[in-house]
Order: sequence, then C-alpha cells, then structure tokens
Amino acid sequence: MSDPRRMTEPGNPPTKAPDEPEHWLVRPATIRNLWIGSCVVLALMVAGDLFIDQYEYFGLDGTFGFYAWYGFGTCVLMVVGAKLLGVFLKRKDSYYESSADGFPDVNGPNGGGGR
Amino acid sequence: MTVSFPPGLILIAGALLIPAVRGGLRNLLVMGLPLLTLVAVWMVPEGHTVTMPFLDYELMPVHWTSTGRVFATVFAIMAFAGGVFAMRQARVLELAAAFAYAGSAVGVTFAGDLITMFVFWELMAVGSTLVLWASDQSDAYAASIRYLLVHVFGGVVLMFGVVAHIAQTGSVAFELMRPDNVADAMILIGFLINAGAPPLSAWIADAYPEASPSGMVFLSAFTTKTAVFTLMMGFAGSEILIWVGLYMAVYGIVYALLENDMRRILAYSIVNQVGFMVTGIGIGTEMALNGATAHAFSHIIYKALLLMSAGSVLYMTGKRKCTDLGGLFRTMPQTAIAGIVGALAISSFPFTSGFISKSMINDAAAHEHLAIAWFVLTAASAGVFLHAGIKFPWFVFFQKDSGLRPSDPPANMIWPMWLFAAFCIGLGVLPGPLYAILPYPVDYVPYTANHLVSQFQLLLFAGLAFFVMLPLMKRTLTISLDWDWFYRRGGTVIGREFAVRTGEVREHVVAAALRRIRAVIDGLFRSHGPVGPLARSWPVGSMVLWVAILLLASLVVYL
Repeated sequence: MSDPRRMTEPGNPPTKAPDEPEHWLVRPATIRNLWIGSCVVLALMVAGDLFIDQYEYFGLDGTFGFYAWYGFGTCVLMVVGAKLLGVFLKRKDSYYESSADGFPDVNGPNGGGGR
Repeated sequence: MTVSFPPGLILIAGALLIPAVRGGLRNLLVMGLPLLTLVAVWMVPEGHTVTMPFLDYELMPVHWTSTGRVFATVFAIMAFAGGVFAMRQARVLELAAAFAYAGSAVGVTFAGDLITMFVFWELMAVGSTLVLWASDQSDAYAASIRYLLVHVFGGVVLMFGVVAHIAQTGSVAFELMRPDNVADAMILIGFLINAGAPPLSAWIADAYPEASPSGMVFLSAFTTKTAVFTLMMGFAGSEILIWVGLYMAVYGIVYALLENDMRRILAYSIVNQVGFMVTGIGIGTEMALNGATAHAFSHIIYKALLLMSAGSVLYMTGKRKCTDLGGLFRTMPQTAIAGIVGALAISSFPFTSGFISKSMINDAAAHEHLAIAWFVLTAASAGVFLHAGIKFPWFVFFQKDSGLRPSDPPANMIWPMWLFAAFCIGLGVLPGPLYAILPYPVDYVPYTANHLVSQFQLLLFAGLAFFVMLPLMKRTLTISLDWDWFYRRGGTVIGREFAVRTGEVREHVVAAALRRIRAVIDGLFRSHGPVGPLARSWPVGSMVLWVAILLLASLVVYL
C-alpha cells in the first residue's frame, strides 16, 4: 500500500504486496520476548499474594494464588468442555441453508447425523 | 422547565422526520435528537409522575425512577454514537428504525404502568425488526422473521401475564412482583425472553449478526438491556434469576468458544454479560442492584465499541468469519485499538469500565455467602477474557496473516469508536459520576490492593490458558446447534417423521380399501359374470319345459 492514510474500497480490500517487509510484532524474536515478559508478569502477580491479605469468604478463596490457579483451571475446563460439547453440537456452517426445493434436506450432504 | 411527556417520544417522532430530510439537515437530526433526549431525560424532576386516564385505568407514561434514569441516559448516549457511526453508510430505513427503537427503549424506562410499558415494549420489537430488514447481509430476511416470531411469542406471553395481573390485582402499576402466581410468572417469562434467557436464547446469535455493520451496534444495546431494566423493577430478589443468570453466563462462554463468526462471538458474549446482570438482580441486595445497573451502563458502551470495531472490519473487508480474517492490525490500527479497549473493558480489566461495575455483582454474591453463585461468576469472569477479551481481537487483528490490507473505515465510523473508548477508560479511572447516579447510595471502593491483585491474577492466567490451549481453539467452518434447532429444524424433522408414519398408515388404508373393492367386484363377477348363475343365457327348451311343469302343477292344484 502506497499511502497508509488513503481509504481502501469498502468490502473489497487490497491484499498483501509480495515485497512487504515482515511487521516487527510478528517476528519470532519479538514473540519470544513477549512470552518471557508475560511469564515474568505472571510470576509477579502470584508473588503479589505474599504481600496482601486476601479476603476469605468461602475458605477455598483464601488459598495461596487462588485467583491464578482457579482462573487457569476453570478456563482449561471451559475450553475442554466446549470442545467436548462441540463434538455433539457442531455442524457445517451451511447446515441451515435450504436446498433447491426450498426444504432443508435432512439427509443431504449438509444435514444428517454428527458430520 | 419540567418535562412532562415521555422523553422517548423525541426519538420516536424524530425518527419519522429522518427520511423526510437529507444531507446536512439529516446529520443534524441524527446527532441532535439523542442529545435532546438526554437533556429531556435529565429534566424530568426526581419523583415526578404524569398520569393519564385511559378506559378505567390511570396510566403513568412518565414515572421517574433513579434506575430508569440511568438506563435512559445510556440509551440516549448509545443512540448518539450509533447514529454517528451509521450516518453515512446505513440505509435511511435503518437510521429511522434504529431511532424509533431507541426511543421506545427510553419509553420503557419511564413507564410507570404495565400498559405503557407493554406498548413501548412492542414498538421496540417493530423497530428492531425494521433494523434487520434494512440489512445488507444475505441471510438477514429469514433471520429477521425468526427474530420476529420469537418476539411476537414473547409479547403474547407478556400480554397474557399483564392482562391476568390487572384482572387479579385491579392495578396497572408496574411494581415489584413475585413470580409465585401464573400472571406474574408469565410477565417474568415475557421479560426473560427479551433478556436472552434459556431456552429461547438463540435468537440473539441468530439474528443480530445478520444486521448491517451499524445495525448490530444498535441491536446489541436496547432489547436485552431494557429487559434487564424491567426485571430489576419487577422481579429484583427473585431467587430463580440467580440460576437463570448463571446458566446464561456459562452458556455464552461455551458457545462463543465454539463460534467462528466474529459478530456471533460478540452476540454470545451479550448473553454472557446479561447473565451477570440477571444474577445480580436475583441476588437483589442494594449492592447487587447497583452493580447490575452500573454493569448495564458499562456493558452498553463497551459492547457497542466492540461491535463498531467488528462492524468496521466487516464494512471494509466484507468478511465476518475468523477463518477468513487475521493480521488486520497492520492496516487498521485505530479499529484494532478500539477493539482491544472494548475487549479489556468487557473482561473487567482494572482501569476500564467493566472492572468498576462487574466486581460489585461478584462482591455482592460473596457478601451474601452465595458460594455456588460466586464460584461460577468468578470462573465466568475468567471465561469472558478467554472468549471475548482475547479471542475476538486475536482472531480478527492478529493470529495468522490473512493477507488482507484494508484501511481504517471513514471518519464518521472512527470518531464514535474513540468516544466510546474514552468512556470505557474514563469510567474505569473515575467511577464517581456513574456511582453518583446509581439507584442506591454507593459504599464501594473498587480499587484496593486485594482487588487489583486478584483481578490481574484471574485475567492474566485466563490469558495464559488461552495461549496454552491455542491448538484446541483452531477455528473451523462450523456453527453450533442450539435450542433454535427445535424451531428451525425440529419442525421439518417432525414433519418428515409424520409424513413417513402417516404414509405407512395411508398405504395400509388404501390396501385394505382396494381389497374390499376387489372382493365386491369378485362377488359380482361370480353372480353376474359371463358364467354367473344370474347372467347365463338360458336355452328356449328349458323355458318351455318349466312352463309345462308350472301348467301341470296348476292343473293338479286346482282340479
């Protein structure tokens, strides 16, 4: 793109030029540094529990690093749970589209059982 | 000067003017009407009620409540930003319909009686359907009809409840109810259908993403949040709402995690966020209701910001699916920043609007020692960061490079994004003004060391989970079945099953009838056929013989 401030045509974006240099944010070195930086921040956050006195309403929520392990654990559970549910619930995104006769074809290529 | 007409009427009447004018005058209307409404909302004096006789009832078209004023304020702000965002790109029908829709939502927030509330409620259904009809997306019409069917059904249930309630109590006043009788339970169900509660929750993710880029910005704001308002006025403290809300919060996350369409991800996250508010209403303490009200205010703004960002991407690329998008941060930096600010706010990151509102609901659950509610809400708070906070910006603006290089959208779409991004951060840093207008006095300090550390731990480790689990989150070209299967496919399947079963019965009936007819024909053939005894040709000789025998017999008898 020659001038980044010029607006492109809505609904019909130009594509990447073959000679476009790689953006600094997606270079492997940057990504490695981001991971290292994030791990340091994560460790600092857990260490923060040493200096404050967390409120405790239910017992479990007063344990060391509760929000860290609970947040991580429940997110893993939700992703895995969603994945398992997806086995039963996922359909091709054309599932509800009608066939030529105006009726969704239950046994056609888009319908039927767990495909 | 005091305002003694429903402030929502400004937007509704103005909506009718919008198609009649063009150019600069129309732009002036689009920006001026919401601001005028905002002023009118604040000029209704505290505690003011206007009554109007209708048949045997005293209607209250204007009835001031502190909760209603908060909702009306954010609805007017929303109409302004949405109007500017839509001003140049949307069809005139969409602008006019969206303003009538917004005005009706403001109308509900000032309704002091059930009849006024119902009239504005149904006007909202009409306005929002028209917004869908103005869409440029290919599947919009079919989706709008399904949307309308759900809302007409919800309206009928609500109407039933309102009529029964008035017949039972003799009062039209819209007051706190208990869903322990059929009438009030029906009203509750009518409200919950608009809130996106199960089982009729699929309409949000089905219809909203089929609206135009700007249409969905309007749609996300009014219907569900008006339902939150009516639930708060009518059913605060009803325990069932805790469970309904928790289901919604988890449902929204799971379905958003499975989804590929960027605007459908955001639609599911509306259900998730409304789930937090509904839970707060169910808890029903002053702190919980303050939290739910504040969260509705923050939510409308950051959700609109997210949808403006997604709408800009859709407008500039013509694409909605995560599998087609990615890497757009290079050429759409302003849109990406807007999306990221909205994503941080919806995740309740400290120093954004979501933090100062949602933590009130969570803390209210803790104060009431509602262990299940608190643990589910905390998990759902982490899940919000997972499904909306990271997933939306990551798959649209980062992840793999789609190779698309669209620019940022036109100025009228950029400015409302900056405005709402400023609101998201401003409310997060200075929550005072919002806390000051909440329905109950606020004795709540969001920024304590405890709060900050726990929230950062929760969110950052949810983020870690996202990137650790990234291989499991690979987008696929799929949709997920929901309760709407029953009305979109179930009918066809039942119809087919019915056709197969009745086909068998018909075959049996036809076969039996044919057997009977054949038996009759066979019998007739036996008696009347060419060799049947009644159809044989008899020789003349035998007749003469029989005549002779008869004559002989008569002779013998009479002699």
